[in-house]
This record gives sequence, structure tokens and C-alpha cells, in this order.
Amino acid sequence: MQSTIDQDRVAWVSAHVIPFEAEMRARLRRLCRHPAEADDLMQDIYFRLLQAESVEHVREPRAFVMQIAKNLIIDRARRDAVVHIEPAAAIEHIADVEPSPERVAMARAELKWVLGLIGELPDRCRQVFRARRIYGMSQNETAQCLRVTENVVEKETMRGLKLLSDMIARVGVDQAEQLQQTRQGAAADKKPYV
Amino acid sequence: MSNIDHQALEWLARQARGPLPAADQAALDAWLAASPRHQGAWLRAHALDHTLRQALLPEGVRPAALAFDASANPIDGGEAGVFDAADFNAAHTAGDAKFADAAGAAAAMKAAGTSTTARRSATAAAPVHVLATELAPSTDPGARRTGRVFALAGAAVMALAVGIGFRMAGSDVPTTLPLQAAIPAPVSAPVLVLETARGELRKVPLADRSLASIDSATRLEVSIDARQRRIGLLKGQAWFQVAKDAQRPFVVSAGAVSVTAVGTAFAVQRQPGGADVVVTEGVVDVRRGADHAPVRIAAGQQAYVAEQGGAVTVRRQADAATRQLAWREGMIVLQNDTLARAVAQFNRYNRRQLIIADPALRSKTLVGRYRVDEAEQFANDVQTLLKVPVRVSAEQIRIGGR
Repeated sequence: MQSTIDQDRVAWVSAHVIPFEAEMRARLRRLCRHPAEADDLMQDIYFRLLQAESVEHVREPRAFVMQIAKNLIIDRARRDAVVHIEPAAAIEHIADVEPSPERVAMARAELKWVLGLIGELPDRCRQVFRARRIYGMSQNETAQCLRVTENVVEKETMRGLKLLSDMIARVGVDQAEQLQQTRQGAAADKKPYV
Repeated sequence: MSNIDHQALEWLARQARGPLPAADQAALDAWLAASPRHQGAWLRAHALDHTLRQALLPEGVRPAALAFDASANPIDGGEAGVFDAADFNAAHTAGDAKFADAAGAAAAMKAAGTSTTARRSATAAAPVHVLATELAPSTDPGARRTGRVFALAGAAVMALAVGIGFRMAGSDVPTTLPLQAAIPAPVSAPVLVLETARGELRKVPLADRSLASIDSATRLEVSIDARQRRIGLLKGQAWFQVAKDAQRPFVVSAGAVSVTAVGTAFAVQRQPGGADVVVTEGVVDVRRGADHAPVRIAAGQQAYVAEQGGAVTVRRQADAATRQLAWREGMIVLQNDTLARAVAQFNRYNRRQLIIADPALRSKTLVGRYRVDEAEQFANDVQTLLKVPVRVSAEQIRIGGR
């Protein structure tokens, strides 16, 4: 395993999997006894995506990913000789998904989604993120601007990235609209990650 | 969510800071080898970073027009932060469904609590991108300030800039005015001029809901009304994701070369004597002058079209299209490109120019991946790789020669 990853593969996953990850996880959770199992499964899916010979031919990426999930679940059930996947029917239809929205609409929705997620970050974190990724300031400039140490900037950048990573697992691009409504409630929701 | 994802993000951040020391690289390799799930998380971390890059600036790349001044504090947000969801919605609920609706956008600006320097041009009755009317050319200091804050917004989308910008209007960050509306030509649709400075990358939603990614040192003239969508590429390069609209073909002209699309995504780059066309989705028709029969170029293909004669050769290379468009993420990807070509690419983004002092080096080929602002790093790598002297000064970086 090399630490460098093919950039085309990264771009594909970024466009077709990341925005729908929350939705995919929700589907997986319905099939697993434990939420942690769904998380493991999601990581296995990413590994398969990394290993896949080619993904450029895939027409319906979400259905493709759910098909991978289905294969993984069946493999595991065979291997463990344990049937904890509930109804067979549920897994049968796991790969039935609505077609993805048109690309242009998608690009717009994605932007709104990402900015919405950033808006959900805690104050300090959000300021650092804006400074670095929206105004393109260096770590040093950000530190001066916000009157904090560079160490704080570095820590907050990392913290923001982790929080965004967690949020992406819970809130998909289709839920961008709800971001604002959940804002007040989200404070309590966020605590486990802080 | 698991710890593994967080570990992957930490590795990615560490790697982004520069080449890993051998010991760290070994530790990363060992971590990856330890579990397929680590490898899965590693891919996810990259994809997450990519998603953020698409919407925001790549870390460390700044809009060139932004001159930093530590005494001003444009990001002091707190409750009224520039990118709060509230700002976003103020700008977007008005702007989203109707980018073409200047009145709606003006209302959004008011909602953002600002006095606008809005100025309608006489021909603005036709749907125009909001900026064409709101940023009429002016020496009015207020208008200049408006332009300045757009510069600050950098790669953030314009509609957002409407919401963001005005909160920062009081800040004192000196920049040039990057966006100006040209005086509309009589009869035809008003023209919106989009310009980027050297090193500046920008994504702009157009009035028809298409998106333009505009590369460094580029000038576009956008004219969109009820009947037509015409873009003039005067210099530089841009990539377009075109909203489907069979009634209004989307035509990009680069000199005598014109590229027509209905609903697709493609890039056009001006070259001396012609244009490079790269198609990422769907198909486009390329014409030279009015009488030339169109040549069709499909997704994954690219072509150089000369303004004067010469057959149009359509090439197909598996990953060439995405590689050539790495600039949209602030990257330069070299895949057996010549030193001359690589240097030309870096020089499009950086004020400090790379110079090849020894012509014999021009045709040396290179492989690599750099951020657009890593010219010095690139020169250092060339020095090591080709064993040639490199001299760095404030103005330029000379490769080879004595």
C-alpha cells in the first residue's frame, strides 16, 4: 500500500460518495445490529473503492457503492456463519437508489452544504477555517489576525477538519437545507466530538 | 465515526505541511499496512479534503488580490461572522433560485445590512448577472470598496460574496478592483467582465445557473440574456459546467475559435494562434470562423484548434483531461511534461517568474504534482533532479546557466 493515492480516484469519491455518505451510513445502520458495525462497513467500502480496478464506467455511483456494501455483508455473513443481517429482503433492495441529481444542480448543492457545515463549527474553529480556506491566509497571518498563537491556529484547523469529518457522516448534501434549523439543537449534539 | 478517520486526517495534515521525514513516512506506511480499514480511511480523508478544496481555497493558496494587513481584521466574525449560515442564506435564498434577478440580490444586500452603491445601467431590464448592475464602473469610493471586498472573497462564489462582502466593507485591506462591469454595448445583452489577477482562482455562478471556474490571469466577457449565452475568452483559461438549456446554446469564443455546448462541462485555454479545448462531460462542437464545419469533441477528449487553418486533431488520453484541469484545485500536475511547459504553467500564477537560463534544459521531461504557488519548491526539485544550478532572488528564479 502506497501512501499516495490516484487523484482521479480521490476526485471521484469526493464527487460521488462524500456528499451521500450520511445517507449511505443510515442505510447500513438499518442492516447492522450495532452503529459501530455500520462505521466499520463504511471503511471497508472505502477500501474496496480504493482497490477497484476502475470506477470511471460507473453510471450510478450510489447504487454501485451500495452494491459493494451488499457484497461485503454477504461475504461476512458467510465467513462468520452468523446471520445477523435481519430480513433478506432489506439487503436485496439496498442498492435501489434514486438517480443522482444533475451535475450542475449538484455542484451548487454541494457548495451550500459545505458552507453550511462550516457554519456549524464552534466559533474559534470557524474563524480559523475561514481565514485559512476562504481568505487564503497563512498560519502565521491567521494567528496575528485572530490574536492567537500559531499553535492554536494549527490545533483549531485540525479540530475543524475532524468535526467536519464527523458531520459529513451524519449530514448529507440532501440535508443542507436543514442545517440552519438544527443549529440550536446541534450544540448539544456536537458535544461528544469536542 | 471512528478514531481511525481522525488518525487519517492527522496524517494527511502532516503530509500537507511538506515531505515527511523518513521515520514519519515509515510510520505512515506501517499504519496503512496495519489494516485495510486504515487504507479506507486514508482514501476518505483525501476525498474529504478534495471536497473542501472544491468549495474553498486549497490551504495556503490565496487570492492574489488580497494584500494582507494584520491591523485590519476582516475575519473577526464572532456572532456576525462573515460566513455564518445566516449570511449565506441571506445571500442565497435571494440569489439561489434567481441569480439573474438583480432586484432580489439587491434585496439580499440590504438584508445583509448594508448601503449599496447599486446603479442600474439602462439596459439592465434584460436578465443580467447581479454584478453587472451592481458593480458599474465607477470612481465612487463606495463602489471601489465593493469591488475590494469581492477581491477578498477570492474563490468563494460571488453570490456569497454579496452576503459576505458588505460586513467587511469597513475593513481597510487595499486591493485592486478585480471585477468590473463593462459598459453594455447598445442593442445586445449587457456584458459582465470577469477578470482574475495572477495567482487568483475563482468560481463564479453565471446568470443561467452555469458555473465558471476561472484560472489565473484570465479575462472573460459574459453576455447572457433570454436568447443567447455568449462568453468571450480574451486571455487565460476557464472551465465551464453548463446548465442544460436547448433554447440558448452556450458559446465560448477564443479569438476566431468558438466552442458550442448545450449541457456539458469543458475548458477552453487561449494559446498563441489558437485555443486548447478539454471536454470533461458531454460533447461540444468546435468551429473556426463562421464557415468552418464543426468538429465534435466528446468527454475525455481534447484538441488544439488553430485560428488559421490546419486540421483539428482530437486526442484521447485516459486521464489527461482531469490532469490538465488540476488548476481548478490549485494544483499543477506534470506527467512527462517538458520543463518549458512546466515553467510556463507556474509563471501563470506567480509574480516571481521562473526563468530557464540554459535552453538545452527546456525539453527535459518531468513528473510531479505541486501547488500552483510552489514554484520555489519546484525549482529546488529541478535542481536536485537535473543537477543544475538554481538561483533564487526576490524577482525571479533562474534555472540553469551561470
